[in-house]
Amino acid sequence: MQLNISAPANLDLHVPKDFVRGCPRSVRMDIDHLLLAIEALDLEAVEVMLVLIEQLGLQKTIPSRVAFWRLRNTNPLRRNYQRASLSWDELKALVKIVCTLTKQLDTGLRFLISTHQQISEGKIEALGLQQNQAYLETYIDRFKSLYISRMRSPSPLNNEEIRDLALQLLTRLLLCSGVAGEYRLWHSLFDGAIA
Amino acid sequence: MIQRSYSLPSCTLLIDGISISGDTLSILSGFSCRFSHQSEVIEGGLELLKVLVKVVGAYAQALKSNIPLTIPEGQVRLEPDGKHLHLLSITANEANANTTQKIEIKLNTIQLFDLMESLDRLCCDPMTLPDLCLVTQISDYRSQAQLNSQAVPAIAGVISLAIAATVLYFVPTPKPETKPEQPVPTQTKPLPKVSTSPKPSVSPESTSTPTSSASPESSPTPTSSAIPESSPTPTSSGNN
Repeated sequence: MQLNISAPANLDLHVPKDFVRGCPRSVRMDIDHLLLAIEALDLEAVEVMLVLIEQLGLQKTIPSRVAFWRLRNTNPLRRNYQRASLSWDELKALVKIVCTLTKQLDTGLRFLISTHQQISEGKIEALGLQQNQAYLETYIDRFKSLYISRMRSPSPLNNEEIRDLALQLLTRLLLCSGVAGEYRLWHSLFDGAIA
Repeated sequence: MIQRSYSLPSCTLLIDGISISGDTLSILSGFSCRFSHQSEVIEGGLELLKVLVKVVGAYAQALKSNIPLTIPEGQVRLEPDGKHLHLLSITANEANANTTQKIEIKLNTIQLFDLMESLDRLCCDPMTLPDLCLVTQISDYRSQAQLNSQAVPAIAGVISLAIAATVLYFVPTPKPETKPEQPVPTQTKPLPKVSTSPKPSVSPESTSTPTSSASPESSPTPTSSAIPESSPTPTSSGNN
């Protein structure tokens, strides 16, 4: 007998008690970087996100495209950062969007992560998978151009650091894509954050 | 007898158990976890399963925060091995005779994710072992790791401060000895006159010497001090 669990677990996201001053800076940066990586993976991701907002019933928190843009600009590294913060409901909405999208991108994420591993083990040439390497490079280039165009003008990271961030975000996104992804992502956001 | 299976591309988790009421598998008789890249199978009972859930959950959480940690817990140990690999090692339990030796399985990130996901599905499944719950807390392991890495510099800092304090305690505090060698107050007009007047009292025999010594001393000092001191300051400031 085989059972497959598709329904998400009934786990609620507790607001951590230590953070009385609202959403910490690092959390706002992290969640925006994850969204940016999703955009680099899928060029139409923003449109999908806007549809998802309706499907997930989050219009109350994110009523419009501009409101969504404002939420993403709470990342302090953004060019249009307005010193605004995220409310807990807004953060939960963004976490939901990230996790729902990563479930759809699961196959692509697995593919890119294993390609990255093959590259660092030097197996690409032997396996004849140079094409896959090109896919990974395309993703990194897209992420780089998105990052440079969105973040403040002297880029906070150099090219090598942006590349590392892009690759690291792939693993983070993969780990968000499971059944308990929202719960795991929520906890990892506050891990090491300063109130 | 009920069997539940959670299969992911690289990992299959099989749960065998007995139900007491309805379809809910509530008593575990055994589980097995098989990876597609490895012939070795992880088998055990409830105790091992609980430890595995804890270790894999905490490790995945640490990996997500990009701070890979070594998580040892009971029989199971999961540690980072290079940039892409994770080493899962399970030592044999004394009670279980089937697992004769240590099992070591190298997992890449995707296989680790599949293992985590199969265990997560098991934890989230209300029909199978409802009392198993997810593990996302890594603060216990974090504090251990941080103690090891942070205590040494902190203690070294305190000790070096103590040593420096004891050494500096024996160094005598320097006394202010500027008064006898100060030329500036002696250059003022009234002071040399006062100082010269007691001098003759030491040598009372010659009365003419104090007057002759006082006048040449007093007259060159104001002129010499006035002219060189006033001239360099404007020129130096002009050059700058």
